[in-house]
Amino acid sequence: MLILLFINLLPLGVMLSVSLKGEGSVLRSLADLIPKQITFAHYAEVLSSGRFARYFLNSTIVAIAVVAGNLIFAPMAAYALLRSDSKVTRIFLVLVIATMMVPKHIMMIPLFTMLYRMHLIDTYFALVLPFLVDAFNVFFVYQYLKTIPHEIEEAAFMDGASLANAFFRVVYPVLKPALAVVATNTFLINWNSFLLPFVLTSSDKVRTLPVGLAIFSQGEHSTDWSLLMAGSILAAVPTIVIWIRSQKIAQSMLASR
Amino acid sequence: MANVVLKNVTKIFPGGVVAIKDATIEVADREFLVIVGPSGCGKSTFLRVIAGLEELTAGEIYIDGKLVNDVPPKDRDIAMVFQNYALYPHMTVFDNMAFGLKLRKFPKEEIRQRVHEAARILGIEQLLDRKPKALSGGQRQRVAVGRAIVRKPKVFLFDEPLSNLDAKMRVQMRAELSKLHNRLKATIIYVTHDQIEAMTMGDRIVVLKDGMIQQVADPMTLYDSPVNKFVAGFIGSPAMNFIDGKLLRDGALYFDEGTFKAKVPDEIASHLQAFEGKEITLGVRPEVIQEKTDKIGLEIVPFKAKVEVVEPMGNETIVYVTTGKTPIVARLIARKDLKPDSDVEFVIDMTRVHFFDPSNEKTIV
Repeated sequence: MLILLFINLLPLGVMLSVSLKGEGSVLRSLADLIPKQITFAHYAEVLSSGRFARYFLNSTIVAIAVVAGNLIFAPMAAYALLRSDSKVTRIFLVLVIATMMVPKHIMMIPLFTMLYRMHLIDTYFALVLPFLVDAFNVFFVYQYLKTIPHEIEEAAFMDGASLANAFFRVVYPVLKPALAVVATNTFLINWNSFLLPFVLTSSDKVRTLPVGLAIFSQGEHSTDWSLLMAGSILAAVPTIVIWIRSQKIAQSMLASR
Repeated sequence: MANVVLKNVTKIFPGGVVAIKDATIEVADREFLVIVGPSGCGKSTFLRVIAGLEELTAGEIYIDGKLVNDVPPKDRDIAMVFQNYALYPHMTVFDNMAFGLKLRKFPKEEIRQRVHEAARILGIEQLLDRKPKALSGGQRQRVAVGRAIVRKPKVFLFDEPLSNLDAKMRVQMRAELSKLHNRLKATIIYVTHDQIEAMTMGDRIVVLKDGMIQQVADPMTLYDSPVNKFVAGFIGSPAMNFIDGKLLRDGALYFDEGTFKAKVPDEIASHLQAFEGKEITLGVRPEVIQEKTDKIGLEIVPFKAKVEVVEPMGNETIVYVTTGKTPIVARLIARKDLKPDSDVEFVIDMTRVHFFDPSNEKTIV
């Protein structure tokens, strides 16, 4: 267990170590992990740069929009697939699962072409619209929905609820543990996403943190590792906080079912 | 309150499974009708088509004189109590009970009054702030009933509401539901597989088998005059004994089981002439069989049997015996110290038996 913990925390340790070292100091061996001299100059440089704040804001806007989209649309799609059980919906479910097997890299060029034709490249829409419903989230909520007794919806119908009322007032609140997982996963994946935001943006106006940091730390002939690591540590703070919080929330929700 | 009429109702599920076959029945206003039958006989489907949760394949359903075939469940003004209670897990007991009223946009004060009134009737006022997970099975059951009664619907549907409770709680809730029916003067359709619930609670009972109504009658008529072997065997606990044999004429008419012969009383014999010399099934309720005493008459027929199992119940004794050919259950009206494997003489009161036609299982007399 300790070995696993060490392996998992090592990259974070390296990032922290490099970000706190003076310029020119690099990590040659594990012995260099603890810096001889600590400096927060790189953090100050990252924070004082307006570009970092912009990237942070862009990442926040995009991540919140994508999480909100998934929290609304994934349960609706899953509910429709589960409850309107017909040949057509079963085919749709297979198609949803099939999209999970297609690597993102294959979708990169068609996605770019499509968004380019819609004049959406280098806008927030390019970073939000294609990711509003994730196939994994639909499948995940679908599986969770299966564990909820159908009778509570039927009880709602008998109480006078319409389909929309039964879904939003009875089914949706019961999905909370699954939605906590959806929100966390979607946020983390989106916050850390590099490749597609890199391809779909071309200016600092909408660049997200991972893309922005990579460009920000690039000199003409070299990479400023200390600056990149300081930015990465700052960028990782929200993900670490959310991960720890959501773990507790999901546990308490599951325990209260 | 309202009456419910089903006319030639048929429900066939995709795949061809026939759940209800051409059912016609009228449930009177304020009647407590119990639908009873073995697992898979279609009794829950019966409730679900009345509720509108399943679409009909054929037939018509009227509630309070209005055809409701195409009316969605929310507009039928019916309340249903589910087997697993189906309480909303994220809501408090108060909110569970108030949900239907909120959807119908009742004023807040009236909602509060109705929920508290229902909670008082059911003795759950102290539970109103709890969530369902913090309730026992019996309490959940009361909340489910409370959720149904606050709306004062036209018809109540109960789908095996007591089957998840322990035996003691079941007996208690049985009585409480009967009291509630008297108090609410409501039309209730109640589904159960437990014939004791059916006998003790229903004004009338519908016995279902394979989606077909076998008999509709009040409890005592069902017990005393079943229309066929299935109803006779389903109603009554322990179940009626069915003894196969032949009708023989030896001066009088005799039922011959093989190991014993019993004279058929004259008033019954007159109905059995068509079966002389033929196979026939004798139906005997367990309480009609007693241990042999000196009081043997022409119609109190003795037979010898070997005791297999004895179940002392305190006020009575259930004895499983065999004649060597037929297994028989007897309910003896006193404590009896019988030993397994012992040979004992019993008597059958032939004035209280039934005869069934083995070819179609219908009651002859």
